[in-house]
Amino acid sequence: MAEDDFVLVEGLNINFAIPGGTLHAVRDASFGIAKGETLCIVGESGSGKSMTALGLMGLLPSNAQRSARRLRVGGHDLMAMSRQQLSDLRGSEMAMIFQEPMTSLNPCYTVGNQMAETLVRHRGVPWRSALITARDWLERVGIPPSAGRLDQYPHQLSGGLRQRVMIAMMLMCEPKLIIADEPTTALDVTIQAQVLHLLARLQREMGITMIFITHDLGVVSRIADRIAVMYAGQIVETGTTREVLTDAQHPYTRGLLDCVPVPGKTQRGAALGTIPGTVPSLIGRLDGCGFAGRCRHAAPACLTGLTALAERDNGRQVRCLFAPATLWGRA
Amino acid sequence: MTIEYHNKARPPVLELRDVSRSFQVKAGVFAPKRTLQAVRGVTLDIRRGDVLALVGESGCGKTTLARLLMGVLEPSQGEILFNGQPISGRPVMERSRHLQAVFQDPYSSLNPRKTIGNIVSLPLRVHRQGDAATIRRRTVEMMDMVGLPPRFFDSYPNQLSGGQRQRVAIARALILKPEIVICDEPTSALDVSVQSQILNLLMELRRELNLTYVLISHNLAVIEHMATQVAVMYLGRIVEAGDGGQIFAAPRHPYTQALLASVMTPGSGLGIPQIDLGVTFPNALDPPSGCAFHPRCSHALARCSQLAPPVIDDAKGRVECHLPMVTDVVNSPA
Repeated sequence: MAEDDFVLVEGLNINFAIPGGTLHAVRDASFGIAKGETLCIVGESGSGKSMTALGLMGLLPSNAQRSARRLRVGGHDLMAMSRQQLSDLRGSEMAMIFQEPMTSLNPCYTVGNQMAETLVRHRGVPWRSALITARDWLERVGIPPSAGRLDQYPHQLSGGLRQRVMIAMMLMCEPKLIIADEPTTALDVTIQAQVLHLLARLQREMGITMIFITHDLGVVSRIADRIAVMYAGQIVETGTTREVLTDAQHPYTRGLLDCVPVPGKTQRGAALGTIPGTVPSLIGRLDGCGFAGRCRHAAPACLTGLTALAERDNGRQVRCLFAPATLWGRA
Repeated sequence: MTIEYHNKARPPVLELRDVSRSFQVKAGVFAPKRTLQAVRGVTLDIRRGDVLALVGESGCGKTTLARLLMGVLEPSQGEILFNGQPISGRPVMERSRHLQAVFQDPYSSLNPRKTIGNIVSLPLRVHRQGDAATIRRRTVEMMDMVGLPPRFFDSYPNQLSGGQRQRVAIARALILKPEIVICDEPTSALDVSVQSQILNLLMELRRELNLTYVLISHNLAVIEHMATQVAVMYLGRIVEAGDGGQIFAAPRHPYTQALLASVMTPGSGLGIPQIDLGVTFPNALDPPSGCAFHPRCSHALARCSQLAPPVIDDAKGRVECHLPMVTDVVNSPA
């Protein structure tokens, strides 16, 4: 994390008041992203990765309580902005793309209508020229203009095409930050590769900073510059893609990497690695390391207090009392 | 612990002979109904102990084929043989003793109002196998086998995690000691760390109970890990089938090559694979002429759009293509 980072999140907490107490969805999340970089947030369901993104965008459900020491995108201090200012910022400066393109497009309006509206809303251009820009953008995302897609409704498009429309719509206002929340999970593998290519190419061309949320370590390894691993609402490890994938320090990251079969490395048919136990409840007072209950290296010290995210040289962070030397020397 | 690949000597337990299935679908409110060929002339042998993986994009007919195997659907054409006997028209009770299924979503495949013991033991009660005490004993044994402690016997599905629920679904499928289990995306609703537990369990049970699996999954890394046999489907046809190791090492159909190239396995510095396929999956109501894959194929020749491709069946497997070839696997492991 550096002062001149494009995105700067410091001490982000997101809580929900629920009948049984307080649900700590995100705890003390801090990360920075340099301009033009891709940060992948990896974690399993319920780890808080989507909430972190929604918290940054200011799109949390109304019963959520958000607090942070600092929340900055570009030059904007998101904590100090009003709802209206945030709403202006979303879609123009920062944009989000979701997992299921069917539910994020309005089925009652044509593709062209929805795309043009973004420009009319944020850039105040006339409807007619917005439609022309929309057509150009469809071409940029690989949808031929001849096909008359602008006049089609979302249900007339395949999943891959819808996600391309979403990407075009998101990029039309030329945002500086995009947050992609599992954008390819609902797509077939061949389409997934195409959509990722497209996203990566446009990101490079336009110098966009990206937060990419996924649980697919394969995708992460192909697109990320840096990785943040989340577990039980906390970031447990960050580092460059190479560092995290080849030299994972946190026992959870190691466990996660062992769980997926890697053709050529994992012996076919051999038993895969597992992480025993289940994710702890995030309700009420949380003490100790969130992973202690499932960690085979856990010691009594892991069960009390708050394990800090220790920063090493070059921005590598690990939230573990023992990582790494003592731990992997023993393993 | 590895999979045995040389299984040609064993007789097929399930044979599909030129099986087709079509549906009548409405094309519009006033439009006449049209015929959709979901499965077109599939011929396939499944041998005892195989893990046969069905691979293909959504809409290619994988699930229809699985439903034909389960007997939920009857083929419009062709024959399915079980141990050499045709199974079309056989009573469901008889089929269900030999063939069971595990579905994708353990949140919707278990009745929320029944206890786990009740869910797992239902097949025994339907088939009237033993008295109450025997059924209870066998249920607890089965639960133990899939790693569910007996204390879950009186629990309800909502008290269990996703992985535990999928164990319940597996226990329910195996309690009648079937020979074949059809697993339709058994782990895609689960988290990575739970997925590996379920895959390990499936492999263990296969060894212990000598099971045959038909595995449907879109996760090709999982398929490469699990499958002894692979059948690649495209628009209702099996375009390539053969030994898993063979297909993953040297795919011959351009579609199989594109599929394998698009697998993203973790490894740093590999980049996003470049897939040479058109964007659109063809309309199944109006399949392309000749080879159904030709509009998306980068190697297509003039004859590909006119003539159905020949079937090449040799020692390396079975492939339907005018130009089958062996190229380097783009996504070779680092």
